[in-house]
Amino acid sequence: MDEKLPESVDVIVLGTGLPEAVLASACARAGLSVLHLDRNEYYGGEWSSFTMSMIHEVNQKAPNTLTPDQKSQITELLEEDEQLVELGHQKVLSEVEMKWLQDDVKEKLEKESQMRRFSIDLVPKVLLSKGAMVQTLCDSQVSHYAEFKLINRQLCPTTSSSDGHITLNSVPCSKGEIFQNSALSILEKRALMKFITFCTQWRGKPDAERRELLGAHADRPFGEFLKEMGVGETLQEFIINTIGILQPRPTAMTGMLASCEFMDSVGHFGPSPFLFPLYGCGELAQCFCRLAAVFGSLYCLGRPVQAMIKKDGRVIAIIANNERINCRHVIMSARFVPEDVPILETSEIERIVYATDKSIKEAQKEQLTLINLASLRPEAAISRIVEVGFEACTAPKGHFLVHATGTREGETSIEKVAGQILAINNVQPYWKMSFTGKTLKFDTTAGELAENVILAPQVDASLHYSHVVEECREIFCKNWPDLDFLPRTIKNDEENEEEVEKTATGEENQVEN
Amino acid sequence: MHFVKKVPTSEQEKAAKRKEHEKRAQQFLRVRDRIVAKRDKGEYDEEILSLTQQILEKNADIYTFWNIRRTAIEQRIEANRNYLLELDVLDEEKAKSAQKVENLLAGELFLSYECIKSNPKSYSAWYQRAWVLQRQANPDYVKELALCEKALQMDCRNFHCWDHRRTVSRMAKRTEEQELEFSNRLIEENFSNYSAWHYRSIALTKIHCDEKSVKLDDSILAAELQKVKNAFYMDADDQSAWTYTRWLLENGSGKEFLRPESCTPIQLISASFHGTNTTLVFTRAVTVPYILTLVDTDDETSWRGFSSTSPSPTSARVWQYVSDTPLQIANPLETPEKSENFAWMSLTDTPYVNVAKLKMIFDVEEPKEPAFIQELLEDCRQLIELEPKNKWPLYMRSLVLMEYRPIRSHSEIVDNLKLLAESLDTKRVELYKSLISRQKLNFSIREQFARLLSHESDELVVRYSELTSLEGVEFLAGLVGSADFSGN
Repeated sequence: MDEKLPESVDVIVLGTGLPEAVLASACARAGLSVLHLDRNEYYGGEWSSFTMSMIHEVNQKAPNTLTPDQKSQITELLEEDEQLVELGHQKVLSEVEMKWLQDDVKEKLEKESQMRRFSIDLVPKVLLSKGAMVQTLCDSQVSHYAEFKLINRQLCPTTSSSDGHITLNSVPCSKGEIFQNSALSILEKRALMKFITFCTQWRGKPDAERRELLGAHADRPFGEFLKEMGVGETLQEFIINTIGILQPRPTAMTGMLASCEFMDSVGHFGPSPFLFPLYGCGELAQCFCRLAAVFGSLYCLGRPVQAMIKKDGRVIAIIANNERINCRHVIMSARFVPEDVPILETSEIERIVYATDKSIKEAQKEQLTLINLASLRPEAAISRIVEVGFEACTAPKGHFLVHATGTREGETSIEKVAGQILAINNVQPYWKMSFTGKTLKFDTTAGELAENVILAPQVDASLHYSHVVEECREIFCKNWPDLDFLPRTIKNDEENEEEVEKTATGEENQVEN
Repeated sequence: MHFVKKVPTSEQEKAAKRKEHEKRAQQFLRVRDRIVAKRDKGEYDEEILSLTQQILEKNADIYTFWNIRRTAIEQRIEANRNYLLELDVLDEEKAKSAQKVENLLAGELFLSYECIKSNPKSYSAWYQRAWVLQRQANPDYVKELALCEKALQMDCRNFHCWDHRRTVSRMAKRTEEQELEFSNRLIEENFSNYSAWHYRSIALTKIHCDEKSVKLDDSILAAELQKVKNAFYMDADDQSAWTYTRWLLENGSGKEFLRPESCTPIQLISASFHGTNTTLVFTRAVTVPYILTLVDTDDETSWRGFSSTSPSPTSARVWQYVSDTPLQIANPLETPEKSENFAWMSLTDTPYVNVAKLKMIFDVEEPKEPAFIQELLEDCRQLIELEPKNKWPLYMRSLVLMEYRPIRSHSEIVDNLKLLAESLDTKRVELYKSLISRQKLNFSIREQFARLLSHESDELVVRYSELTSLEGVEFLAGLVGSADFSGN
């Protein structure tokens, strides 16, 4: 905390959430000098994961705005023509509530010191096996710092029309799973395979031809197009539900794109297209920070970041803990945006986390489960559940975290639907947390923010990371057009040597023969 | 050092690489010569083990070196065996010696594992594993089977691995039911897997068939068809599913013509006396010594065989015994071979004719049709409708019809086969033509069957029937005196 910070760096990154971490690592990798600061004592900000004993930290500390005393002290650091802009404490999480529903379980977990075995994600997402995130992880070799497991079960709730009873059916993803599935008739299986073949062909076509193939249906509902293709009603529903997790309310065009995205990732690492990071999603932010550190980025957590200094419309320095650090660029998470920047729009994502000691659908082997709740909340754009437990290293053995995520539209709350899902297998959660995640859209045109201040992408409602990573890439390329964004690592000499060796032995074989 | 683009290999670098390459080749040759020299001197010591290991790690295909290793290890095993028999050695020392051999064998498994990892199709490396397992005191079959499964997940058609698995499962005394379950697992993962279906067919036959019968029960066939149906519905172009379906059909069939001749049991079809000779016709080619076990002569010389492949065959379906006096045959209905209480059957007045067999051969009667066959026909029909350009459902339906409805569906069979020959599968025109020919021949023979059996006339007439082959006619050799195949 008292460690002296450098006087000047190329880039100061404020906040250690995933997008900030990605950008920090990209800058450091590109050879820029980076200082990465966070007011929190932990990594990840609103993208973090917490153990059960640390989860209370999620409550943002009361913003300590600068006292007049501090302000005058800081002002002394300013030179002529420079202007002080106090940094904000934007609230991105609100209505945070958590409570124990069964105290005996709490005592037991504490006694067995299991509380630290939880890894409670604020933003539970998955990775598309062939999506932008996996590509970036591999190229940048951040993948070396993390481990992943396949989401091995995708469930789809169906409501019985007679008694309203909900059942959870497995969604077959791969050819093998379709083959084994007993819910689909063979004609449906056939139609599904035909559809998959069509997608594979469609994917290979140029954009214009793709649109042409969809004809008049392109911007009409996906279902109509599927019907046209001879896909029966049950199967239509099935396909739309399956890809709905990537693309709610698809048109023929977006539906086809999502189908291709889905199928592309199927079979890459296993039958399911999705991966989940072990020890929770918060790991990813830390892994990118680690890469940044390897390339020389400097890290300071728990540092009171107070203000920025502007001159001629540009930010030239940041003041943290009464120290001035000069910089060329500032990348900041929404939390740090000055309070006087007008907010145009706030979108909200409802989040509920349950801790349970029983899976929502028990299986022989513990599963990582994803459920699309769209059919139960048709008005809402997003409603899904991720259940992860010991297998994903996010809970002690025999325990699970059930993450419900939803947007607010419609009458049925995500909480109600999550309750229905838990009720199917009579799951009694012993702990519950709920909060609202906020995405703030700032009015950057007014000029309160300088041109060299880069706003990092915020938490989005999407299931996977592709959009976040793509956005980071765009931001990076826009600001540093002459630098590469986390480029593929060049093979080192050792590997080259191995290759030579192989060819050499290949020819030796001929000598022998 | 970031963003250093890889420099294209310059001539200089190429030269350096070539030099390095030559150096390595030289190194290899040196090691090779050293190994060979040691072998020639019979020095199967630690050094030769380490030298061969060095090279095999880089190239597992040099079987000579594996051979040398085996010799070296055999010597140590033998030495240990003798050591254990010695009387004046402490048990402790004996245990140590035995352990040393076990360690050596375990090391061999590790080496071959490394080799297989870099070259999963190395004959020698796979062979070495089986060889080691046979010599280990307590081979870990579970681990070995798991290894096979992993290798098959990477390449489900690696026949080296399939072979190895067969060997290991035999050594581990795995039941065929377990292997059937294993094939289930692989098929569920990916049904386009010839090898797994084939493995399944072998396991099924071993479980349900004995040497005498090669026919599977209807209940098993029905269950298997349900399974494979999922596959050909999902991908009607997938050959493995259709090939397996065809195999099921053949196994449910009592008829021979779909099967290779070697599967047919030898049976006498007819025996008849024609004034100057006695003609014997069998279901499959037989030799004179075999026939002599059925007839009342030991004469080996007066036989004349008829075959389309040779003018004087040693093995044939049709044989004539040239003699003015008729032969007597052992009554084929009672005992297949001469035994104590059998009766000679005279052919002087009436020939012997196995009518049931002939009826089967020429589809004179249609067999009983199990429910699953009707279902299969219906499935094929549906797929033909959905995919008129796909040859498989049409071919399969025709095969089933030929088997179960040759009379009722004669014209559909011929039409289907023509469609296949002319547009859907033109590469196999001759195959379809010969199938059509046989159907037409059978059709014609059916019409004349009663007459031929009644001995009113021994003339067979099959005119203008687009016959391309007369295969099958030979079964009638004892009944037909003259034939008219004009217009074919």
